[in-house]
Amino acid sequence: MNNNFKKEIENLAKHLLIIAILMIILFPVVYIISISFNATGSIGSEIIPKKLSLEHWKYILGMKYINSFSGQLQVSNFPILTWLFNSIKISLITSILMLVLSTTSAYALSRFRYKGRQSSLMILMVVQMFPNIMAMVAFYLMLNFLGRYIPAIGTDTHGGLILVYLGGTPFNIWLIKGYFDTIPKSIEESAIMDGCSRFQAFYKIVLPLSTPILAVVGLLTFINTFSDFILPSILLKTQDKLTFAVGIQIFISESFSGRWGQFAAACILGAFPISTIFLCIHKYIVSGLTMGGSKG
Amino acid sequence: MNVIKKFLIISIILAGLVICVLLFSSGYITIGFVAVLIWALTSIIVLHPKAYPFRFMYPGLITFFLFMIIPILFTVYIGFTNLGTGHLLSHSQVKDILLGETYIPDSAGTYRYSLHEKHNGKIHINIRNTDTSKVYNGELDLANNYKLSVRLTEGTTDATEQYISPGKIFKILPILKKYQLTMPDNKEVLRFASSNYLTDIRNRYSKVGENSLKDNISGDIYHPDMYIGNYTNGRENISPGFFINVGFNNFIKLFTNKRIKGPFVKIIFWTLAWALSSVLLTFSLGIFLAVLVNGKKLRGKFLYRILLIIPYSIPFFISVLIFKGLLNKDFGIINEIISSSSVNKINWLGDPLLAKISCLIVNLWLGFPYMFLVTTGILQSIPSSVYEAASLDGAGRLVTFRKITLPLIMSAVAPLLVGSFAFNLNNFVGIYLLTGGGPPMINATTPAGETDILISYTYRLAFEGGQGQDFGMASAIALIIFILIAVLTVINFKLSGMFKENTKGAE
Repeated sequence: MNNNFKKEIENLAKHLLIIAILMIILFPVVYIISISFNATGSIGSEIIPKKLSLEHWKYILGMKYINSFSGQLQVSNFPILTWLFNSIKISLITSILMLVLSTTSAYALSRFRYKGRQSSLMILMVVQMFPNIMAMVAFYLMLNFLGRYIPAIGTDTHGGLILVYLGGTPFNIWLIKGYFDTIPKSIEESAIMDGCSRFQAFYKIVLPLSTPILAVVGLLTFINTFSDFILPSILLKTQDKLTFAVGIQIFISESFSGRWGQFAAACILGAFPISTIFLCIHKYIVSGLTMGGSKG
Repeated sequence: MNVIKKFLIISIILAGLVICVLLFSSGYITIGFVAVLIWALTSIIVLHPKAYPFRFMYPGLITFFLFMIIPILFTVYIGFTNLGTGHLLSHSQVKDILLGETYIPDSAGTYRYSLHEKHNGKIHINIRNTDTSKVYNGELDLANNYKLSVRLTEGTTDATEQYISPGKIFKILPILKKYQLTMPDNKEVLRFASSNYLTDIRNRYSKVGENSLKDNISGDIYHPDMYIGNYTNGRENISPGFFINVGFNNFIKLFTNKRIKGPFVKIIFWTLAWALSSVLLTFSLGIFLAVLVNGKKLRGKFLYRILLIIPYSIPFFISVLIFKGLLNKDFGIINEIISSSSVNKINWLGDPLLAKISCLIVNLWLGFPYMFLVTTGILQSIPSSVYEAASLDGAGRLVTFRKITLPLIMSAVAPLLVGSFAFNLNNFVGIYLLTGGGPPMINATTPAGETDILISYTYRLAFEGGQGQDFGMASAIALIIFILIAVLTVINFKLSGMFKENTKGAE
């Protein structure tokens, strides 16, 4: 009995400790949500708002809002929604193309035995350790140069940025190849006996069987591309072409005290979809990450 | 069907060859070289039956080659040049620019002109010196591109043919500007300055010998200096300079030049300290929370777990920017909570030591959930019989943790810790968006800050204005990061034995 009581106390203590830690950890999140609905919403505002308002949300959604200084109805001149749309567009195209590029390569590495396979694997393994941001100067100069001949992939274009991201296939090839290895070859082999071509066997049999890893790789690429700051900040210049990360950084850095409320609302808008995706697939991500490094 | 296919393949290959030849013949050597490589690779893969597997790898290989391998090689190349502000162009480009530079001598007279259309399609130019009122005549043939120098003759009367309107002159001005009109006495050579004036515009530099340039104003001779990348007369350099291979100069500068070396060594040490403490802090908090939350009889585990990984689910750039606001010295909520008076505000991001601590705390917030998730996974995979055996042997909780849990976790997590270390070495967002690398270091000639890590320093050297862009130095530092990462990679492979298993397992 005594022992049980002790355990109860201990359990309670544990709960209290975890809750205390959670309160500290989640404070910024809760605070930023509260700020986004706070009528004053200036930096350093109290945690529980005295007066609620939707002005900050109207501001970032490009609707008419009441300017707190002049009291007039107006529309924000920052294209925050465009930035968000740019980010989503770039991330989506990147993840789709990334899947196309890495599944085909992964299939070859997993199924064929040929000269140079070992060394291909070795090269992939080594190169995926080097994050591409180390070559940022090279990317910038290369796109500058390419843009003179092919304007669609120069600096300050989304096409150029996407191409730069597509260089980062090795990690994904590695992940997908690992999954392909677990699918028995016999299924494809019998299909090929029945007159299927290699390529048909690949996209009609192997791809549908590996939907889980494709989803994880696609979503991971989406999240990582969406969260990237350094490459778009180097490669993009025009305000309307910026990604959310770069745009919002410029937006808030110009005036921390004046745009805090709007910034809070924008953060929630940008973080919510990514957060949701992440929390849904975090189990797979961890098993993927433990295979090859950490979030990059 | 098969014939058509073969025909198509062959014509595409031939077309590729034509493009390559065209590129070379128009002088794009580098791009032509890359094109030939791609072309050769494509042809082999399409034609050779043994290369069948590579047809699957081809799309991935090409982007990997173009946007990973080439940029890396290019970075190596730039690291050994002085490419940057003032040295962005090649030697021959700079020479062309300088030879195109012009000046107007003080003695130059100004001349008004009018243009008149002749019946034969040529243009009659009528010029009047605004000081002496002397009149000159000449003939321009716009249809003939090669006759750009025209001799003027002294005349007495004005022209009588049809005037060309100023609007039309303005349109053809770029063509007119190529003309040189020589005066009858050979003293002045006139060029078009605007849509109504001509004046004596001369070339600033003229070629002397093979490589040198003569300054036509001062008469000085300028030689190209292949160590600094400028034309120089020994005392002053002409801008723009050109980029040259400087060998190991960038590295030598980094490690010997006092003003550069001091900050650079500090940055290296801080980078390592930052990465190491980030790993240790996140790992400690992560493992602590994992053990705490994964207790056997704890209710609400699932909810706690989700809540604890929320920080990791938010894109890093958003969280870091939020923290930048929270830690704001004058208005930030953290200072508001600590003290409501306006004096004694803590300068979280402006003080060298506090800024470093702030970076670490923010990074702890961002990174501990990763460690929490990983260790949770490992904890769950440890069979409970191990713990039961331990408790039967009378081991206390701390002993169990130290002797069983920790070693089991460490063996599984070691390569991940190295991976996390490598990630934090290049954790640009965690530093740059919070402090911008600042506060600035005192006595540094480069834009070095107290919290700068190697990658943010690279970024600031190359892309932050102020002191100009130094691509060469930035790439040299990037190469140093490359070496660091390479060492880590070797350690990681040794630790995990991952490569062996993965390739052998597939055989």
